[in-house]
Amino acid sequence: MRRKQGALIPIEQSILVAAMELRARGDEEFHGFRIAREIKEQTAARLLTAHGTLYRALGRLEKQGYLSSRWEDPVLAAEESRPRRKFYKLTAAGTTAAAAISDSPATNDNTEAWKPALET
Amino acid sequence: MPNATLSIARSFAERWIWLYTAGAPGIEREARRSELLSDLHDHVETERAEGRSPAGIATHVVLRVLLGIPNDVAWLAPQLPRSLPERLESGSEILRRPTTLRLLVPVVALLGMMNWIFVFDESLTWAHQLLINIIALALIVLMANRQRPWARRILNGYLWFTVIITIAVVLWVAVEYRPYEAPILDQTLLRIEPAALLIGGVAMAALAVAFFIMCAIFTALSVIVCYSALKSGAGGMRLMAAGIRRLT
Repeated sequence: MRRKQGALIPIEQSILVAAMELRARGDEEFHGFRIAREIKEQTAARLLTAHGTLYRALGRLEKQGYLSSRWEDPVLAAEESRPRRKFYKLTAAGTTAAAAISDSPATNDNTEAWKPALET
Repeated sequence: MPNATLSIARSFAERWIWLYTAGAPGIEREARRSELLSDLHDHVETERAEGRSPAGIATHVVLRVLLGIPNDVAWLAPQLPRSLPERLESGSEILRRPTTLRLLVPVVALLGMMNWIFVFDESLTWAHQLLINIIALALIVLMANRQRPWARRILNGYLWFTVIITIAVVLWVAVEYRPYEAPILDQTLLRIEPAALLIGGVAMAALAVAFFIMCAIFTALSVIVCYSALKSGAGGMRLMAAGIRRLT
């Protein structure tokens, strides 16, 4: 089944809502693994979102203008002996969409979480 | 041993990331690899700090990779139509160099030589086969270097002959020898244990698939190399790139 033009699928909606939660806690920016952890906690899932699913969704959200991104300073990553991270941030459109998803009645119903698709 | 499990899982994840991103264009490929390797690192380190067992982390890593494969492939698909013609066109730049074509000819001739060894196995000794093919190889290289029209026609004929023989030999081996069956059917265990039969059957099917994939790749490579040579190298690659663009 093909997705409607501009509609957000559940994983994209989860990312936006989780990003909003992180922002409310003072984390303006997040990387892929951080958002995967947040989604896992919010949905009480046993597993983190699969790599392919998560990063494809992040890519689509960025392309649609809901997220912006920047690469971490490589010096900082090298100092901590780890690969550098790509940080994402909610844009104004992303914030509006996340708020709309959070306010939708289906979001508050656990059985139908993130169901209604947003039309942009 | 548990740490070994985690190393294997991590290595599996890294290899998969490397493999499926290999088909994407340079910038997208490097960005995707960096981001996924960073996630993998953070995942392992975070769960290790939380005191989760290495086997548990390994299972989680592998599951994250496996469950994401359909989306990985879906991510790669739109990248290919752009990157494959670009690669072919960049390949045509290399083929335009006379030295590359001169190097390519012995490679293809060697391919043909190997096939001839198969075909004439019973009628000639190995020494005779090698001698004949070395003479043929030398003649082909000389003809290719001279760039005469008649020489090119003979060279092209030889190249297509190589392709036909390659396909014929692959089919012959597949039908007559069934190399994927031999090692498994010889096991007497298969006739006794039903579980061994099942495992053997699955292994046989996997080997058969792998064998035919290998044959298909081998034949496709032969065709690509010969087609490129037939269309003067660079021209052939450009034609293939244009064909793929039209299809996509």
